[in-house]
Amino acid sequence: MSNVSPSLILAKVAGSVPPECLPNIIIIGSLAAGYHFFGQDKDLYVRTKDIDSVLRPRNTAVKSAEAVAEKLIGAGWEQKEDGNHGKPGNQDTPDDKLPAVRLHPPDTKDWFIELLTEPSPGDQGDRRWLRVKLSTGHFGLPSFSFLSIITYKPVLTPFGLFCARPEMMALANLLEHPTIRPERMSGLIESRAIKRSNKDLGRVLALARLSGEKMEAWSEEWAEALANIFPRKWKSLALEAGAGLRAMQASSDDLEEAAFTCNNGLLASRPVTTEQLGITLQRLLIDAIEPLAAKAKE
Amino acid sequence: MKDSTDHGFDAEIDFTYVVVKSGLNAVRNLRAGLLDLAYALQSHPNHRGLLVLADTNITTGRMEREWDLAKQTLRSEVLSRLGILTYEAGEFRGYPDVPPPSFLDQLLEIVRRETSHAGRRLPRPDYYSEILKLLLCHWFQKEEPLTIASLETKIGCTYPTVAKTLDKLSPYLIRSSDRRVALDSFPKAAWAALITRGDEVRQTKRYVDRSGQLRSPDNLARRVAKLGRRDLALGGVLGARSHYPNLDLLGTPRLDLTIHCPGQRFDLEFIARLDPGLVLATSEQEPAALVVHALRRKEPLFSALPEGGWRADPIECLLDLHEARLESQAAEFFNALAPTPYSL
Repeated sequence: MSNVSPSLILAKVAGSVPPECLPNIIIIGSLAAGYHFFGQDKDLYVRTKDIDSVLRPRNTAVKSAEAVAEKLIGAGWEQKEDGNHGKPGNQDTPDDKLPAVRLHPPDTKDWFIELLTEPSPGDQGDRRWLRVKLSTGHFGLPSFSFLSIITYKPVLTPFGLFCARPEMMALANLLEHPTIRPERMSGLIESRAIKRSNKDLGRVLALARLSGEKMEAWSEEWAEALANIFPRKWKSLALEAGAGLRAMQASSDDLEEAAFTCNNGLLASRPVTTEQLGITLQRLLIDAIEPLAAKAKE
Repeated sequence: MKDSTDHGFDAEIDFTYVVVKSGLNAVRNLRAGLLDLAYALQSHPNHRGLLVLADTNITTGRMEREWDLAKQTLRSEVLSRLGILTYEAGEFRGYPDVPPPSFLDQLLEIVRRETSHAGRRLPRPDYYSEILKLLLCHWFQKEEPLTIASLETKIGCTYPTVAKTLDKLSPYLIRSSDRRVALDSFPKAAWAALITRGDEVRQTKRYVDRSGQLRSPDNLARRVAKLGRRDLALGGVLGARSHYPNLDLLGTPRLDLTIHCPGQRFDLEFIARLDPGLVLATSEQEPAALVVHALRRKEPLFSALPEGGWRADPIECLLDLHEARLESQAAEFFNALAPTPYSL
């Protein structure tokens, strides 16, 4: 992972893509969180390597992806080919085996932009892929069911593209992890293989901690987003939203892993102890997750 | 483990009578607890006795002196079967020593039961102090003198208790022909004594932040208001400011809350939900984020705040300012509210 300045990266991405595509791009993940919390300070950095960029709406996403990727490739950006599914596919590659569009800028390999898109209404479960044909081969635009929550009412940046809101990224991660699953990430964090669930739920806690008192208003935003995006099942989703965190609360090992990932990510400049992160977890349960469940029961 | 409540004890573990006193701050109550156990051991030669003080404000040095005094006073045959344990922030300290771990495991269950947030047991109210505070409040607010009967009702005590207190305060009182009483002047010595004994009278508990992300007193105050409880009132700087908006202090160093508990229970369970980052302070040196005081009289005299929630009366707020060592603000607040100019 690299230390990157959110504002500088956003400016670079915005200046490199076709201007007409800017309103269709929503930055999510660490960079969006970094922009939200440290964006005003050019001296503060976020530890990340992937700049996740969602293209919307879905029905024009392939066209947007082709326009964005070809312009970047034309300017010297290169496909990140290491890792699983790094090589470009062709017309024979099944959709779910296509590599994602991951492009390094010409001057550094410290970070890369990755293109995604919103799911179709009603899409559930694992990732779905849309085929994108570029001059360099066939690629896939992934989407997953809770990405539509992440991209709900994004914030417009001065650079012309959008950033996801912290509370929506938190909600999507909560719903994505109703339990602490045993799978560990292939990429190591400071030599440790971390459970994916602990990393993602740790992200939720980091966002809550960085949001401070604003977190107390999250349940309102969450209820609105869920009711709009999942009108038929929002109540059941709302009632399940805290299950993963409660599982983490009961496991000191999982909470420690979450604290470790936070201290190597969003909380690097304000590290926490496991006990402190546990308190953040309790605050989140009391101030946002329980009120959300209460709204679902009304 | 047996339930020994019929004998006046909280439990019996391995032929040991156990008495748990929570929040005990007066040495005389410590002595009384020891004597009760000593009497019982006199007639039960095969039993031991253990007095457990949970969350006590009695210092270690004072405890050692009291134990030395007990050694000089009690027969060695009884003393050898007697002991005191203090329990603070999860740790036992023993006089003369700490029982073995197997005993402590059973004891911990009893201590937790007796000191649970839901039902911390309070000692008998200090009616003298409650009556003094009420008279001061009336004096501050230039209210009509009170009848003895109304004092009994507002405080929740009997006529003899009121009469005894009024006798003590008589140099400062005026009594009307219809037996109403009011303060005629400020009882400086009584007030100074009340400030000195404030923690004991009001069962003051200090909470510190363990989250590393301290919530502001204003935020905590809003959260208190949201609880919608009529037995919680803002005191301290926030309360004083609501009585006297010109109070000369930038910011708010901590939140003071007054909890109305006219009975024996001190319900502190809400604090875990108010903010899970708050824990009981283990030392007075730690800066408190929240300080809670019990108000024992029957009528709380809380008044509603326009923004929601309640505020404590000016006397409770004034005591809070003294307790927080905000002496110049306390003097300013006092002079702003006192019916006649007076120097504290």
